[in-house]
Amino acid sequence: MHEVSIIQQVVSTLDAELSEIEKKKLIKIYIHVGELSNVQPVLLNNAFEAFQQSENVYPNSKMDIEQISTEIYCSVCNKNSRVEKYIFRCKDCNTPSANVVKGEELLIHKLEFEKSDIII
Amino acid sequence: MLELSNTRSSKNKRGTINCDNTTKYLLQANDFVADAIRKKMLESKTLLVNITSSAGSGKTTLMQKTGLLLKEKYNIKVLVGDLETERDADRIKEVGIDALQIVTGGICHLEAQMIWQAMENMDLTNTDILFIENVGNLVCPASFDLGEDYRVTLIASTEGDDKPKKYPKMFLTSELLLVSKSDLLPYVPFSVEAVTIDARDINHELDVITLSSTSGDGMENWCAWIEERIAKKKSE
Repeated sequence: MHEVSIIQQVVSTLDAELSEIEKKKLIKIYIHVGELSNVQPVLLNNAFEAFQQSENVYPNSKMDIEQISTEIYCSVCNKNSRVEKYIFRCKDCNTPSANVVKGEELLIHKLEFEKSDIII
Repeated sequence: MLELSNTRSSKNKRGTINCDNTTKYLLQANDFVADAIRKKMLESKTLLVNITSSAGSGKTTLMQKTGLLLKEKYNIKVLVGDLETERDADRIKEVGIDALQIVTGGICHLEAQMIWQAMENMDLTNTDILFIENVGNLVCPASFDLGEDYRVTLIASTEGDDKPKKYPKMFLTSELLLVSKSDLLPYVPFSVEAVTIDARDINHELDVITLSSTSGDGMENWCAWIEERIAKKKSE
């Protein structure tokens, strides 16, 4: 949901950080999208590609989107537990937990640039 | 700011660079404004409550009735969000409660920036409670922190008791579930027990109150819930 405005955020974040040369040499943008963020990886990718074409920016970049599963921390077992089917209970001891440690991410995780050092 | 680790500062970036230090959370702009709203509400000691639900669950009627029950004792204001029209704000003003309409013009949810701008057109000194009646939508409003103290989600008895897990994020982020239109319970296959169990699988700390704005059933419990929290806010 709102994938286009998220792509706008990604692009303006990168615009603020990268030089023109770096933008041309940016080959991959790694995004982490948590399950709870309500963002669909495929749609995010589509929105990025549409943005690239219509705004003529980041021509050499591809987006790699990893979806992060939801995990809660169980204070009884002292470890994380994966949440399935939106049941926020520890899988081992069934204690409910509202302590969400993974799954809410919406981040630029990593950037990959061309390895060559050729100055244009 | 995006912090890039492993860069050679004097050259252009090459190879793979982690951004893990950064938590460049892409909805950061909203949360930045939400925090500013929180600070403002702390200063004026105004309780801020975000009311969410599907369209037609009874939010506006609840605002009317709640306003009527509490207005002798408290200074109440309401911000209403809709894509178009001022119908909801008009209905609330008709019963003598101060209301301001936010017309989003197509945006399906309220965001912190909209609340901040609306607040600049309001005098919130001595306001005990500000209700935000969100756009009727169980999906998108769930993702936008408006700086509220509490988020209250309505499910009407006519909507079916299987809704919580269909819209998990909304229930995960709420403190109270209001089962509205309880006067219609005898006529619909809705189980308050079932909706409570379903919602508490997601959020075990969720309070549940069943009420009817029309018949008055449960309104006492709802008002008590609010009054407790107004008092708590004043003591912060």
